[in-house]
Amino acid sequence: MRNLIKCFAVVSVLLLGGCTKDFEEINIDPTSVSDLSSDALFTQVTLATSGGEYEAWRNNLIYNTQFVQQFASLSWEQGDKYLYNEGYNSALWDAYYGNCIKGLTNLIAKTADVPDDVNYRSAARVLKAFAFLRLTDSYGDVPYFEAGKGFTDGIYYPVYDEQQAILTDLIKELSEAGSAFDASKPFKGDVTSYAGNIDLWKKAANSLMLRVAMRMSKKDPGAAEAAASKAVAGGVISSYDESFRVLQLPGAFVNPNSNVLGYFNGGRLELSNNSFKFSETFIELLRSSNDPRLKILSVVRTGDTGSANPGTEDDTEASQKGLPSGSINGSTDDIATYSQLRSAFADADDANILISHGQTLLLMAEAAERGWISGDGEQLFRDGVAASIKQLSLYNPPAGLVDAAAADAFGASVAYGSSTDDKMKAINTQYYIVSLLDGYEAHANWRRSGYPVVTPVNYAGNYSGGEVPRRFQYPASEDGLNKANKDAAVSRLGGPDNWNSRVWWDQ
Amino acid sequence: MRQLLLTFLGILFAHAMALAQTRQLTGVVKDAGSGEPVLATIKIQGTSTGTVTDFDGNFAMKVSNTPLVLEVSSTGYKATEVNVDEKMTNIVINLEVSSVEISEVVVTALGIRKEKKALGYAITEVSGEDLTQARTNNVMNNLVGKVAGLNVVSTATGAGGSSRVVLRGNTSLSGGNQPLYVVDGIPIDNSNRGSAGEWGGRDAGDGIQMLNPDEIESISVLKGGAAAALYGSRASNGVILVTTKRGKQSKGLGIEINSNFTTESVMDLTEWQYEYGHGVDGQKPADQATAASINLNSWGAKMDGSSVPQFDGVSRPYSAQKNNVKDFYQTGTNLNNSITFNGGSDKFRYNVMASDLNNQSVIPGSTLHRNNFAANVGMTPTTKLSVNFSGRYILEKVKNRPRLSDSPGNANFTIGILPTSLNQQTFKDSKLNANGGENVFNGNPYVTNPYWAIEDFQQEDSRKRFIGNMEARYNFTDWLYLRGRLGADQYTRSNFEVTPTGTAYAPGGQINDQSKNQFNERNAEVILGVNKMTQSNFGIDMFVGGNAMKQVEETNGYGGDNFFVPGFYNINNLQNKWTNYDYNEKRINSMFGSAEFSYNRMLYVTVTGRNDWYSTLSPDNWSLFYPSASASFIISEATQMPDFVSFLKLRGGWSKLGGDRDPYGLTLNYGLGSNTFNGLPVGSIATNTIPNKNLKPYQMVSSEIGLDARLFHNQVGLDLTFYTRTTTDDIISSQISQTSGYGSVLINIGEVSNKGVELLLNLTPFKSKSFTWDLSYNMGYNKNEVVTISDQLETSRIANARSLTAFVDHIVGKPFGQVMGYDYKRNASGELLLKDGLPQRGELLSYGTGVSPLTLGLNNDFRFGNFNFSFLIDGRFGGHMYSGTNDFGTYRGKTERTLEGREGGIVVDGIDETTGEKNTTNVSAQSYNQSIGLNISSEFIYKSDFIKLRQIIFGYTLPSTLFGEKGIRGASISLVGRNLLILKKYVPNIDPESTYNSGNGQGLEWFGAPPVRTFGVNLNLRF
Repeated sequence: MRNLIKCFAVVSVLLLGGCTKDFEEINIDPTSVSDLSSDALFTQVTLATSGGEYEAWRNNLIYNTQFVQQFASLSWEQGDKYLYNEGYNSALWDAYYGNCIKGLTNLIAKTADVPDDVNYRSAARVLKAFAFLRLTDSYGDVPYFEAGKGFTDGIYYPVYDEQQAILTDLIKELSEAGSAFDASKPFKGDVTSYAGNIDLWKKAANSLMLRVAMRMSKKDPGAAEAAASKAVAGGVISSYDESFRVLQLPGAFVNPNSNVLGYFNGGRLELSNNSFKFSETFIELLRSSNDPRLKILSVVRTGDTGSANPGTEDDTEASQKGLPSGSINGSTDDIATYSQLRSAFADADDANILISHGQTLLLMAEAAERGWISGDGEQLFRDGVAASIKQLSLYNPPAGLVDAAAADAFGASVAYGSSTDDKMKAINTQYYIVSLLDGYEAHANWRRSGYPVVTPVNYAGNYSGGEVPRRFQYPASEDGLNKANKDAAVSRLGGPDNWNSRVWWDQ
Repeated sequence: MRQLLLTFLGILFAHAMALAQTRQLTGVVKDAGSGEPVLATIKIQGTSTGTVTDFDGNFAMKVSNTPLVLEVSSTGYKATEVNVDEKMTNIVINLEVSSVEISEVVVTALGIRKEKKALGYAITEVSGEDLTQARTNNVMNNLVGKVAGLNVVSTATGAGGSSRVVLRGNTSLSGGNQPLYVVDGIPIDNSNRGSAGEWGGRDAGDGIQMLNPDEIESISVLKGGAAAALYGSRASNGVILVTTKRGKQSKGLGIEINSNFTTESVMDLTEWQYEYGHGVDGQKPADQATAASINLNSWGAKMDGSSVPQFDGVSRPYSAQKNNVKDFYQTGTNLNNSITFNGGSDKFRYNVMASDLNNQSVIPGSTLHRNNFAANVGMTPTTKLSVNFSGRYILEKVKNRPRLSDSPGNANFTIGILPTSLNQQTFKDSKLNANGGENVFNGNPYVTNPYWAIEDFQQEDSRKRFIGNMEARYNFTDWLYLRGRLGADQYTRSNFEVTPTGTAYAPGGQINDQSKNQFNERNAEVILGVNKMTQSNFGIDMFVGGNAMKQVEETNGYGGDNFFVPGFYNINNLQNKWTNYDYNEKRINSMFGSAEFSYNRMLYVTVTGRNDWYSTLSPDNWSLFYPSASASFIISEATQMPDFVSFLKLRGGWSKLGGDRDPYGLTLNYGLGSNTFNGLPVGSIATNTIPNKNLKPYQMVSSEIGLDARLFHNQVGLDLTFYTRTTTDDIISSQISQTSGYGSVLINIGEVSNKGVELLLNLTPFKSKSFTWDLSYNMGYNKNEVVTISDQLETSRIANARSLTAFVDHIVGKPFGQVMGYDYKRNASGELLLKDGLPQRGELLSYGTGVSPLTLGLNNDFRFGNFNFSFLIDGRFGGHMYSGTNDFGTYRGKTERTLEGREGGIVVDGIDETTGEKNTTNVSAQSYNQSIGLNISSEFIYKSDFIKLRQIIFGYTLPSTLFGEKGIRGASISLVGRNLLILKKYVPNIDPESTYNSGNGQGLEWFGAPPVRTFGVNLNLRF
């Protein structure tokens, strides 16, 4: 019996005493930390804003660039023929909210009371404004004020905000962020071309404010004018190499934009596979105005398919031939004879230009013509065209291809027109060309301005009734997960939740 | 050794006798026929003194130094009286089996053997013999159709894949739903080391598959809470107890050799259209560039045998190729040899075995090789002490596990979608381009040449695993014992996976993963037990104990892309590298106790309790108590029953269980990317799931009642169970709107209910000396309902199909895992609303659960002299599945349904949405089907019901008279077959069991490996 008692004692001590010993320490993950410095987080959110292959390929290249007939394809026919694919339609939403908005919202929240982190906070607010403009341009009313706050505020089902309220807040954010930058405070981890230069960041904030302002030109000219003049007065991007861009490196962080067309690991290899072509609309637009960019951008590729070696890239203007949007196999010549993007513009380490000098000057030209800012509209236009060509050198194309003098000459000679309509057409047509590879922007400005005029394709089974789509549909995932808020947004849309209804600024 | 031991014991006993006026009588009770130990009650005639034997049949008691008579009884055996003279101290008692009574001793929780009749819950035991003849490489797949209430789903990946095993329905909405596996008392890891999702991947197998069926003595399936409650939280989904073979005293040499050889061949279930070939818009590809740049569409012209250019520049006849599946897949083989040495004496027994398994899959280049070494050694150095060691070492190597689901690197996908005007051989002949890379053959580089996928992609993994258990039991007295156990399960898994240089979508190549994963779980357990029969027929069997569990898992891995030197797949040859380090540790400490009270061997009441403390939860919530109670009443012992009732028992049980979660889920953490960007660290929030520091263990209350009856001299056996299981506070990784920044949040809110019935019916319709027909039928029906998901959500998404148009959702008020699809857009009266003559996508609707609620199994076993023949038919009913193969096949024009309207188009029956008039617009078959394919997914949701001829065994046991006294003791040969026929199914082109992973989101199919039919022979020799 004594043995029995001893045994009980041993067992009890062994177990009861040790039941929860060290349990709290054991449950701390040794592979992660409870906090990270703001610069390390800032690097990641910048890359997330620049984007990833997932949405760059789907929303941007397959849809946006093909909707506006910059590109066309026989293999990825969803875009130029307006065919619906849920994954393509929703890629930007999923990628941005799940990564960039999450990271930006968190960084902005956690630096709110840290005076030394004011530059990370301000830059994050600029990036957040950039990202939300893309989202609201693409889908319309979207979760904004409550977005990305799943952890910080426990909001799992954010309300969709009206686009007008979003744009108004973006202007406020850009204004506050721009003036909050402080040169005396640290600013590391900046992987944009600005490398921590606060003056340039302020210019980017103002240039973006100008972009937001001009979106409202039709729907709320008063607000547009106020914001545009404020932006320009604050100072905007003023040379082509000040264009706001995110650096890229080959390797783990490769290809966060349209360069996914190129031939490298993780790329889509569309150029070497001979499948992603310039649209006839785009090629003929360049050709008709003797634009030097026809030679710079467009080539006919010969050589092996599926190989890193681009073979011969024939850039003779006469050889260039765009694929008519909406083409189907059998109605075309040999697919290899159609023009493609020169591979130098889709290298793994090509920069991703978020806001360019050319775009900014062209928006200023329009603002000036509308009388919203002072300045000579025509001169801004001509400088804008020249800058648009010069900024192509940021992609490191073959030496001598981009010639500054030729750019200036073309800028000086390109037709402008005398009527307001002609001027608007000239400005926005140029905006369309300079926004090549940023399909989000090309599509948005095309919707706003209507230029250049593109002839829609009415392909059997298309999703937009033979019209160029005006927005993306809300992702199907929101149906199951955030239906009430989504439905409220749809009720404000002025039409069904499809590709034809127009976002607020487009109405 | 034996001599020495006996001498030692002799001295010990002599010493003991000198000391006392009484003597110590020890002995063992055995089955007179088999020599197996028997649980028996021993009483000294004319006194109230008595004892019971332990699970090894041993007993010890103090008796007077006079002659006496022992009354020995045990259920199922004839009561026996044994004379013991005044000098005897050791005795062997053999009991004869009684013809009517049933005695089954089964292994219950914590390895405690109990008489089945004492149990207040259902337990199913499957004997090792049922697993070895028509064997499967994952032993769990062999339980299909054999256990009522057990649902096994195996991944469509060939040998080495994981299985999903669910007992009595799914209880947790997003947690694990699979049972705990315990081998010889030691919980073992069964995690799935990699699986395919909607974006593809490989199934990397699970833990239980590594066991060799030859070493298994029996498998006890503890389905209900009361059966499993002693294992605490880890057993909330039931327990599968594997008991391995122990040594026995035997005649002969005790050597057994088993050899099993089977061939595997694909079951080609495809019924494609063979009229229209590669192309789009009714056109044949005009030239090589077009042929190589359009996708694998079967929307071309009618196949007319004309010469048409293909992707490699060669023109070939435009005619139907019907044997692509048959020609691409090969005949696989499976050879499994094992040798067992078994033997022992009173004091020492052993079972040592080694086996070798070699499998060549039907997918060329995909192989599985496994060696199992196992030893089970028991010693009884004194009557008070017994020690048992059970250990196994397993080496498993798998090469080229096939990729499943999405297209990259997935040969099954390309073969599945290949237009029938192309011959798969062309892909072998024209695999390479001029640079030695993958020749581009379609517009999407992410669709891989099937030969490039199987010949150039490389994957290899190996696991070295040790599972060991040491157990010692000391009997202080005849009624008090202490048992201690130490258990270890540890393995190292190495994985190497390469995307070769020259792959169309990754030209620079990649080391996807080169990693080493180390898993280690230790358990230490002590129990102190009392086992006593009092004079007035009251019995008590109780114990208390504790267990400490520590589990550590550590992974080191790296990878990278862009090889400098093509084809040299070494980490140093990579331009970009990344690294990965993972560490997980958790502990559970527990105390538990059990008490069984019995009266007169007719009424048994058992109560148990266990308290678990978890390291993964916060101090406020980390302790939880799990009670259970059960009772068994043997009516046939208590009252006089009609003659035809041999045995009748009622039973019932109740329990409360729970489950914890993974470590580190309480706080928000940040992680760093494995690479720097331009030398800068890249940091971000490490999780897509919002953490919750207030998480507590979920709770599951289950109850069951049952009936066990044997009628007509055991010719009819009926076992019927009704049960309910309700989970509350389920920890949900609930999907939330991505606009919150996160994909999901962990909350303690889910509620799931399961109600079900299980039936096992055994019949012997005919029995004579030379011919016996045994029939066994089992049925399990489980009604599941998701009661609560969260305070805000009525639905929760757990899986997406690759098309992103079909999903598996939980929906409140409906069974677990609803298969969701888009309906057509319809008007109020159900007519289709068309636009431009084409159907449009309408509402997202649920089409039923992906988990079949009803499972049936029917086995017939015929014995005729030395011949035996058995066949097993099983079926699953009431489930649904989305078939991506049929959806994508329709989008691409390969399914038979796409033939309608190829010439002349289709006027779809419906209403034009804009005009409101009946539609008159004619559309092409391509437009029509592409408006349905990958869009209106409800068209591709089918009943997943099936009936299969699962297994046939035709055996012959060589008559023992053929062999002399020495040498061969027995020999048998069997012809075996598995997965022979699908007798009934509803889904075209695929196997209704096809699934690409073993996770919770069941009911999605997307280009898995085709099902395999096996035939073979099993040879067994005993010396």
